[in-house]
Amino acid sequence: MKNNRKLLILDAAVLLLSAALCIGTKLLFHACGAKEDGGWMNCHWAECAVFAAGIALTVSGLLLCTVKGRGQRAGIALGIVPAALTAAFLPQNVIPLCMMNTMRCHSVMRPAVMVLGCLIAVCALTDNILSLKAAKEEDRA
Amino acid sequence: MKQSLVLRDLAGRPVRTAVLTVLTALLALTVLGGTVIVTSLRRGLGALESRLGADIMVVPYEATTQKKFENIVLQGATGYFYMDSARAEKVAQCAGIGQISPQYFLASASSGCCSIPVQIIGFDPETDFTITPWIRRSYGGSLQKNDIVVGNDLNAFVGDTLKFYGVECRVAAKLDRTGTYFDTAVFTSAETIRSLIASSQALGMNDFADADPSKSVSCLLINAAEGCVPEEIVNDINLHVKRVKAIQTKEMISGIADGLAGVSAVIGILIAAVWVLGMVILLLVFTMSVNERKKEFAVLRIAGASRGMLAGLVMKQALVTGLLGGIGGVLLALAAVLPFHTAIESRLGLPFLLPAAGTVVLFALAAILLSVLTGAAAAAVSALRISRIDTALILRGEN
Repeated sequence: MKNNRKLLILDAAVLLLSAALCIGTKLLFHACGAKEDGGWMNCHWAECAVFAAGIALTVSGLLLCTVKGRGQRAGIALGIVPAALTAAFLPQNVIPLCMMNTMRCHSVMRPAVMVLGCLIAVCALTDNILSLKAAKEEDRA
Repeated sequence: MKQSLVLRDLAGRPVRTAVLTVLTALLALTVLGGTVIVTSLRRGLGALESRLGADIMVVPYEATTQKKFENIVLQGATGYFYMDSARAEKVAQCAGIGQISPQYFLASASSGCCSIPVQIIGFDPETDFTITPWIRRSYGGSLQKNDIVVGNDLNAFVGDTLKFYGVECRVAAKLDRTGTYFDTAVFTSAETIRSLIASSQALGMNDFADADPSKSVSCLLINAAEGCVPEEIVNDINLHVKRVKAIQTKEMISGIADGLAGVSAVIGILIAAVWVLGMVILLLVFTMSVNERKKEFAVLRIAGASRGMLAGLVMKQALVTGLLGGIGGVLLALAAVLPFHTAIESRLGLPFLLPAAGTVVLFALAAILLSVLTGAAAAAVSALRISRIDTALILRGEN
């Protein structure tokens, strides 16, 4: 019963954080704007990649909230962990950002994506551990 | 057994436990966040003072009337101003000068991938006494033609090539972080910056009026000779050399020091206010909680618990919530301040240099300890009251 409540909270946290990553990347902690000539800097593509990863994470979060089977839930949660960490390290580590660390992509987008990505990974990992525990208890029963 | 009673009691009242934990987390968050920010600002100001490294700066008089003047010199805003070398030679003849070295400023039109210009600062390696000692920490060699040294906040690394006004420049070194505008600037020798200025003129990308790059400097940095007073040299230059302005660097950073004092005071007041408010709320929560649980404590007394055990139960609950809240608050503060330090620096507009990792860990431990102690102090009053309850009176409902 207690485990169920904890899992419910963790599922909701994964879903909300993933949605925040997805929406925030476009609205709150977006990358630098377009150049004067209308072209985009590298960081724009990092923003697009994080947005795409955010959509995938949100869909996974929705699945986590709707799937009932403990084993399936544990599998989905485990899959979210590397996906969230990949999203966290996409800006700069995979797709290079702009020239100066003082620019918006470095000072706002990168840290926000890193913090949210790591939080999603931690919640999903805890969800996975609790789901596995619950699955084992169900098997014993 | 006793410990399990403490934990069971906390788990049995999730709302009260959550309120206590959140309150102590808030205390730890404000203390650690505020302390790290104030320390970083102080370190930034210290770094700026040592990086300026000269007693006096002499600039063309016209430059001081520009809105951006102080931003160019102190905040790293991109810009430039020039005076002809004849004025610099006159300044050099003034009495009391120990060291003198020219600097050259140039704003790049674009750098590498991005449209944001960077400030290029040229110096004379033979006479320079402000930038060279600092560059030597990261680079032992001498700068060749078209070699540049980049600040720590620039996304360029040793061996990379950056193009400024069509001239390809090799990154010879990357500097350590200073928390000042130097972190976003590019440094190069006088020879290279002259060729960059000439190239930008040839491309028609900068308006330098009729400035001749080979006979122009942006500013002069001066150190007073031993026994000489910088104020006297400043007065001497301002009186005897036309169309230049000598400024004591101490005066230039006084504005930043004032800004820092203001921010520190606001943060100090915020920490104190949150602390007092948190302490009062914690006191109230513990008092109300003990009041509503009087009968429960009376039953525990009848079951054989000593007065000390009851007081210990309240104290241990306060310590557990204090520790949990403290750790939570510290993690939140670290997640808010460390990754976003550049955004905080930009928003404050002041030099900002984070303390070393060891210092941050010490601050974090101190914040946790303070939260635990505050929780314990707030619970101590209730623990004392509960240890003095009259079991019979309470169970008869007379108290």
